[in-house]
Amino acid sequence: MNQRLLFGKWLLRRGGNFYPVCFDEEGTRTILPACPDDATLRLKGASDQEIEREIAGGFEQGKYRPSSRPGIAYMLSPATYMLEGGKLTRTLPHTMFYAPYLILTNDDIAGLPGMTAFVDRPGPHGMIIVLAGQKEREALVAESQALVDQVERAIGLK
Amino acid sequence: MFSVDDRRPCKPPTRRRSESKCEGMKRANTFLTLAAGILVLMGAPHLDAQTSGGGSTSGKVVMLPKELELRLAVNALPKDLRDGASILALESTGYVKARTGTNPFTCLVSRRGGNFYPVCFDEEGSRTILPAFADDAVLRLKGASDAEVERQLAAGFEEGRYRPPARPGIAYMLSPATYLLEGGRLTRTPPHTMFYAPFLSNADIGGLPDKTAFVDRPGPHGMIIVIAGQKEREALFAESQALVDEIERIIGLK
Repeated sequence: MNQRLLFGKWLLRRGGNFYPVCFDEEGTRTILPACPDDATLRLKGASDQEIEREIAGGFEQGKYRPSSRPGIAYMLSPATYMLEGGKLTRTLPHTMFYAPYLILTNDDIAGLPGMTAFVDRPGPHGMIIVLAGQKEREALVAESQALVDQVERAIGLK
Repeated sequence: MFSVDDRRPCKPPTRRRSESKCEGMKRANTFLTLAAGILVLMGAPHLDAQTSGGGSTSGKVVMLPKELELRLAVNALPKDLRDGASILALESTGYVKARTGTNPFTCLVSRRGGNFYPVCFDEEGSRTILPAFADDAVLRLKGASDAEVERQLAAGFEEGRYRPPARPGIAYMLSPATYLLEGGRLTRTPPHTMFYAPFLSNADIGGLPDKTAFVDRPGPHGMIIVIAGQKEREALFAESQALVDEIERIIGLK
């Protein structure tokens, strides 16, 4: 299969965060549609609460669906930023596995963020997160340092 | 996790969304090649599997002293989860529960496919995947050949005794004392984490065994494999060096 066609690559603003993510076909079909809607609502000035209400409504109406099979979304860029205390903060590169069939929680897999694989956003679009290894993270940063600098200048972190 | 049976002649796919046996075999061989490459770098030994005398049997079932079997079993988990796990220990008649835990994981030292490694399944994996592992060992203890074991397990799926996981989950194989058969020899394999992925193929996720997460054993008990990072592997090995030495002495390899 042509790797370039397999993954949908997006620069997302979901939840006010700012990060590149690549979904496989199943994630592109089921998880991704909620992400541009989030950005569109945000561009129109909707609050976080309004956006979450809209997205939750989308699930109830069947507009958004959980993944129907296992799969992967990659977030291996070091230029990945999550909101922490209202400020974008660089986050560790990681790989995500769809955890959709039931509402999987950390209780189900004894998830301990920072120590084991763990569940993020339990729910229909829940994911199991695996952080890249320390040496692999260092290599990713080294490889993309110029890009990180450029992005951080653009978003005001530098 | 690979069995010698993975080296049988290729068969066409029998299930929708599953890879052919041939494709699975190629992936498995690639994983073993990757594993062997890593091991060469780590200076790990190749370990001769001892045969039971049956020409088609990959190796005898290695039995360990119970205390060592229990310690090895939980070594597959991240450190913080070991004390709370349930443990199964292999006895002459099969696996028996040696400890009831407080977290979702059940650990055992698997002999699946003639390999030898500790693995810990969460509740869903314990319910759906572990029974096939346990039956594999029982059949092997009774002297069944690789082909007989695989036939019995395939029949188990057809009869509904074994099922694919119905929800996502994790199995840990983070122990450095993990040995897979390669060319009839047990070979130390890098620690890794597995995510249940029934009927998923590498084509579905762009799996590249030497570069990305990838699918192993495509089919009802297929898994996505993520190898631990290099520094993390070194730390796991350093932490468990004494256990690795003990295991390799006990099974006659040091």
